[in-house]
Parts: sequence; C-alpha cells; structure tokens
Amino acid sequence: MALFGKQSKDGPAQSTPRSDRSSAPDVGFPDEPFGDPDLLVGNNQSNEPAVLTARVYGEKTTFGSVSWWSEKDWWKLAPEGEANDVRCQVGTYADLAVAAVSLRGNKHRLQGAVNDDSYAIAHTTGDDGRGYLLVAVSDGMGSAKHSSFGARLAAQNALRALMELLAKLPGNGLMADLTEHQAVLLSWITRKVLGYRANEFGAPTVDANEFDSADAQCTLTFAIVPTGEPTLSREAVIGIVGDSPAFLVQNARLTPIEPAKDLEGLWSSSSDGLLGATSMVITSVELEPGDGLLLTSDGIGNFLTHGDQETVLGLDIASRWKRPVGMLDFIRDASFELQSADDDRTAVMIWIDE
Amino acid sequence: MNENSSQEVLLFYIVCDESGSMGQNGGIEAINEALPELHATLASDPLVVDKCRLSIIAFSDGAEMILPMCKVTDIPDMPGVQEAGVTNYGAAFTLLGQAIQTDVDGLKSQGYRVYRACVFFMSDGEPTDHWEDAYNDLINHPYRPHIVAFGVDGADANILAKIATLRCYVGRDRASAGRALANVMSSIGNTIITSTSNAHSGPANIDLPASIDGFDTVPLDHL
Repeated sequence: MALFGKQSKDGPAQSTPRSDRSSAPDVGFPDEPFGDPDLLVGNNQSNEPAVLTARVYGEKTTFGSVSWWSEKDWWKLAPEGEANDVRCQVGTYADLAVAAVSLRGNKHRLQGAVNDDSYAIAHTTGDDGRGYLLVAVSDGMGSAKHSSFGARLAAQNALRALMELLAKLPGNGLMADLTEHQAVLLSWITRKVLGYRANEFGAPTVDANEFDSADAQCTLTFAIVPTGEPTLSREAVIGIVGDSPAFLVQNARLTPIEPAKDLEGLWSSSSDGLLGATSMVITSVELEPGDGLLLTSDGIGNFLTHGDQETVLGLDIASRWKRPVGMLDFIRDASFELQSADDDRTAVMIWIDE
Repeated sequence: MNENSSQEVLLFYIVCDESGSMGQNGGIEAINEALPELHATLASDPLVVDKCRLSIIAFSDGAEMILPMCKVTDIPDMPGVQEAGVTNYGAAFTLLGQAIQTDVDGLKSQGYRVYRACVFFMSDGEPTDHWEDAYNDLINHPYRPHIVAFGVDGADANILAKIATLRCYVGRDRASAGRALANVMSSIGNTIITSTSNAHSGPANIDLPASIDGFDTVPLDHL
C-alpha cells in the first residue's frame, strides 16, 4: 500500500529539489530515506567529504567544542563493552511509520559509562483481530549500578507483557483492561527484569536472589497504537511510570501528554521507578491521520517544553518531525547541541498515515 | 539569549568567614590558596562549565559579594578573602538570600530551569550577632537553599548543625585549620562535579562525601 500518500499510480514520488523544499507539500514519504543527501559523504560536489554536524541551540556545549578524538579525552569508551553511542531503527507497520534512536549522553561519554536508556518496538495482532504497534522507552536511573541492563530488560519485557494482554483482551476496552490489570502487569515486568541469569549478556555478576532491585531501577513509558483505516482517528493508550515524557505531535506543534514537575518555581528531577511499582499513569490520546506520537527519555523530553510552552528546540523538532524523516536526519535531529542537555537521549516517533 | 531553551542550571554559593581569627589560624591563607585550585578543577570539567554557576560571599563585620554568580570559565582570576573584623552571620545570610532571589529570578526570566541552590558555609568561630532572623528569612523563602556547613578551629558545632540543612562537618584538630580548609575546598570541588553529573536523578542532587579527612560529621537537628 502507499503509505503517507505520496506514491501515485503514475509512478514513484519525485524528490523535491533542495532549493524548492520550503514550498514542498507536507505529505508523503520522506524524500531521502537516509537523510539530507548533501550531508552524506560522497554526495557533495567537492572533493572534501561532507561533515554531519549537530544543530546548536544557544551556545555550543563545552563538551561538543572539541573532537571526540581530542587529547582532552572526554569521549571515553566504556570498559564493559558496547556503550550504545548510537542505536537506531526505522520501519513501517500497516499505516504506521516508526523511527527510534537512542544516543549516549555527554555525561556518560565523559565517565566512560554506557548509555542507560533503552527502547523496544514490536507489533502484534490482538484477539480483536486488529493490528497494534507497541513501543516502550525506558531510562535507567543514574544512581542504579545496573540501570542500563534494567532499562533494556524493562523495555523488552513491557512489550511482552502488553502482547500477552492484547492476545487475551477481556473485552472491556484497552484502557479499562489495562487499568484493571496494571498491578499484575507491572509485577510481571519487575519479576522478569530481576529474574536474570548472572553474567549472561551484560547481566549483573551477582546472583539474582542477592540483587537489590534499586540497582536496576528505571522508568517506563509505553504506547499501544492500533492500526486503522486511513481516514479514521484512533485511540492510542499510554502508560507511564517515572519521568520519561510523551508528546502529541500535531500540525508541527508539541503537546505534552503528562505535564512535567515544577516545585515552588524550582526544577526537580526526582522520578518514580518501575521496579516494584504497583500502579502507573494510564492515559489515552486521539490520533488523527497525519498526527504523530513521540515517546522520549528525559534527556530529550525535558528540553522540548518549558512550563506550558514549547522551547525553541521543541518547536524545531515538532516542525522537523511533523512527517517521517530520513534515518540520518532523525539521528542528527536528536543529536542537538544544547548546554546542560548531557543525559542519554532516546526518542521514538510514530507517524499516522494521512 | 537563552530563548526559552529550558537549559538546566545548578547554583553553588561559597560563603567564607574572613573574620580576624581566620587570619591568625591560617584559614585566610588556606582559602586564598585553594580558590584558584578549585577554579582550575571546575573549569576543566565540560559539564560543570555548561551547567553550573558559582558565587562567593565573604563575611566578617558585614558581608560582601566577592564573586557575583557566573560561569566558571567567565572568571579570569579568582578573588581572595581578606582578614577583617568580627563574625556576623546575619549579614551573610541576608546578602545570600538577596543574591539567591536575584540570581534565580534572573536565570528563570532568561528561560533557564533552575535547581535549588546549594550553599557551602565555612566558619571558624561563634557568631557575634543575632543571626536567627536573617537565617529564618533565608530558609523560609520558596528558593531556600540546601546548606552544607563546615566548621574549623573551635567553631560551635551546635550552631553550625542548626544552620546546615544537608550536612555539617566540624574539624577535629584546632591546630590545623589551614589544612582542614584545604580539604574542605577539595571536597567542595568534588561535590560540585558529582552533583552536576547526577543532576538527572534524585530530588536533592547534592552528592556530598560521607566523610572529609580531619572532620567529624555532626548530626543535624530534628524538628
């Protein structure tokens, strides 16, 4: 099928020339599936390879003012192995398009620590015969020794638990069923995360029954997005434990699905943890054709809005991600330079076919 | 210039006693030697440079802002403290409260997301004034700071424990106030660096050392 309406019976869509891009219609497949062609090595006209650089909002970061290979030695490898400097996935499912990226933050680069954000994406068919896209974002809490491991398992197991729920829907509606079974679902995820086998593929070396759950503590934000008829709206269900924000992206504007905390006019970064939680925020959002849903870790989400307004970065991201973008563009957009935005960053964007 | 970027910022205030006794016990000299080292340490950390702001207040007969709130890389030379008169805590708390109000409001108006400020309060003696009203004004304000107190050379541990809201350290050895203050300044540097790094997790965000060489940790008052 023709997703996002651009491909016509007459043949594949034509790329919009770069000079005309500002007046291009806001519909269709991304013009360049891997990103802006002028930024790809070898595609420019000079003999020098093009350089992908991050967009800067405000003053450039001190960390980003030197090359990663500089003698300052700020960008360190993680001794335990894969640090996940970049993890990315793009793809389509039915009338939905998804792009996901997770980036190691400057804080963990400086410490030589791994990215402790994670995400998971899956799709399934519910017992109502409908297709569902499932996405989860998890952010390991900085004080937890094995938070990277915890976040990875939490995101994966959250989707497994949701698939089980969708396979045997009691039939009261997804919101009602999820609300009724949230304690069981959260308990199952906690058990699965803490039921690891020591030393196995990045697992902690201590035995699971001697392990303190606080050492793998993490947040969880998930979305269940049904596939649908192209012209109809649909209700996405969102579950949140902790402070990984979700946003509705509509007409190049961002709306937070849950407001951020602000205490007595001062910022507070405290958050609840998934492991051991018995309840969560469960909410829903109506998605129209052409809308988008954005799930993030706080490393991105905290900088998109301030109070009840989008920031400059938030407005820019909402504009860039109002339609699907190329994979490299998506990574580049998430790699913005903003002072103090030094935490790991994860974003999962879901677009509804218009 | 910030254009509602939602940039996060941590504020640290160092409040130094520069009363006459601090000159006699080597405290003034120790602080003046340690401040440039603290500056060099903080300026070499790229996250601290971008995310922290530092201010220094010195007090004796009165209180003086010797370093207004700024980025550490905007400091060409660290100021020093100068031996002066008596130990007026009230003047320090009054000036501190005014500075926090001005600094927080100023940063918020530029679009910054401001964490609760942290104050490192250092003294070697008992206060010579009625400081309680000024202190109460400070800690009853919505922008009340976290306060870490350090006492050397016979400072009154009970009073410092009342002032501290996070932790109170008191030096064991009266004879080595200078060395003790050098350790304090080093601990302040480490606290600023680790707290900056951990500002994404936990409500207080101030990562204090469990102990400092040469100091006892004094329990804080319960209300």
